[in-house]
Amino acid sequence: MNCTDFQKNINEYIDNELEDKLSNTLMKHIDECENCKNEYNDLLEIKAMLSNLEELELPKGFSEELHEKLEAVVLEDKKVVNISDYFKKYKVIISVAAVVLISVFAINTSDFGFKNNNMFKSSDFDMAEEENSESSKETFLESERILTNDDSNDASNDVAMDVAMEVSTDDDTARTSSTPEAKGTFIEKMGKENSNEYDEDSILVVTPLIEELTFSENLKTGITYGIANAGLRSSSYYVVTENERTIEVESSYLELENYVLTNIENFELILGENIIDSDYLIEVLANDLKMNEFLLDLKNTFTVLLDIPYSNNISINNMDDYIIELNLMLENITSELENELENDVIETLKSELLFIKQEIENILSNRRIIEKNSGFTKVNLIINEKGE
Amino acid sequence: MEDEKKLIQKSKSGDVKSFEILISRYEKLAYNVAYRILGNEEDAKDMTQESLIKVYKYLKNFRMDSSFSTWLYRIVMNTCKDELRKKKLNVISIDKPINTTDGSMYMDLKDFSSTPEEELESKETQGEVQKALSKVNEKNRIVVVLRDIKGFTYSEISEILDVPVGTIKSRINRGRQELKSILLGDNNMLKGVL
Repeated sequence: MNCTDFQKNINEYIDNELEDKLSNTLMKHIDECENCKNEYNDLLEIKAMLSNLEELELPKGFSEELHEKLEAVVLEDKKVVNISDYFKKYKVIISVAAVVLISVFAINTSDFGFKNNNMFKSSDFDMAEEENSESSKETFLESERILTNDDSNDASNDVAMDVAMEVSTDDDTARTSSTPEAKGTFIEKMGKENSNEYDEDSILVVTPLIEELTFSENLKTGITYGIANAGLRSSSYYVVTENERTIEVESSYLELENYVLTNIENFELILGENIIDSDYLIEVLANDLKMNEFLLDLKNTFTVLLDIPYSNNISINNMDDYIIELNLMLENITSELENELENDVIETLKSELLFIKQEIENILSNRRIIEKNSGFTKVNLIINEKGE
Repeated sequence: MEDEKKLIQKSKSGDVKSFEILISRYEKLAYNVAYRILGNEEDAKDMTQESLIKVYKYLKNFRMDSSFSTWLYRIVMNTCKDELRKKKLNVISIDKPINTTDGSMYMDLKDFSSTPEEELESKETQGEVQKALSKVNEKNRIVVVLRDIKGFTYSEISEILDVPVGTIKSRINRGRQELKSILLGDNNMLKGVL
């Protein structure tokens, strides 16, 4: 063996990786060559220095920290898995319910108590499938609204608010809220039994509610609107204009919203001493509708583009959470669907979701303004559940 | 090991406790390897934890037929490599001049001719070796550490780094040569130590 070959093989040799034959040749060369012998010794030293480096102990708290991080991963996984599973398994359905609630306020009477935690039932209303709305299941609407007046943010106020919901189908009784009493009271006090009578001072308020966002396997896209009326049985609305003329609008939500949207200059929300610019409300209302459309679009996108079934049992209590869910969806879209779709489809999906997310954020910020002014607290977002 | 297989199975299905038992055999050495490669304990701790988290996350991708140890170290190595890449800007070459406002200057290499007492102190040597190691080219450093600190065979290292054995050999070669010239240099300082 010559020195060049020696250089080539010496490391292998000292690492016991050199085959026997070559090893023997190499050993011979070491004996014969002074330079290579020194080289050999140097390398052995280096190797020994490294091997003798002390083994450090794990730093303090290492395992605890790691444990926490692992637990965080487990939590993350749970959320993520839910959504990605659904992408794969079930039909993609996103349903949003925006509820338009109309309340009648009596301004001057102080006898009216404040009612909260009304449970509303609403009829399902599918923008795309208007005709079928009657046959759908009920939706739970849970809203928490605290009426306040002036600055004291007190529960006692001058304004009575009552909301009556249209009852759509049978199994109502089990789910009916506690409002019948309240409604009754209200109507009594109002002296109204006939929906055509009204208190001169009452003003109709169109207030959007967001329902609790829940998905289920049988979900179809739909929009749920709560329809409030002052009468127990009727499903009509009161719109009271500035000059206090009452206009009765028929039960169709569409009509109502059309009316409201086209007559905004006549519309004002007065709640206690707070006056809310109708523009806000209308905008919010319009945004809700927009959101609806977007979500409808999204659903279409999913079903048309992806043909991927999807369902989800997450219940979201507020829009904030919905945004979180959207974020998760956005994040997961790529990884889960990468293999199944083309990039441009994924990009479309992503941009749809982003768009919706933005819209929802707009809605949220508008709503906060309203809530701030009106004293309404956050309401929950419920998705309607339609029967097959 | 049969035990290990069971632990892996349990960990795959999300059992954190089993996972922690599983990695208890590996974490200390992984930490040391990371430390020797990255050069400081803080980074080593972060990278080790990050790697172990990844191991946990990717367990579902682990095929039970291959060696868990090499698979784990693959993740550790990739994580360390990424970190090194990020820090590359901060690494100052000992050969290139550092530009300062006063003008260029060369990096001040520590004077290796310390007193005999200091030379003999093993802790000092430890520090010197580590410092020297940090100056070795990353690719070579990684291979040398895996070989001499962890004790992986060439083929194991090849599997971990996904690099042919021939490349491993030459990197070890170069890595040791670099160390030699940094540590031994012309002073032959350490001849007296060992």
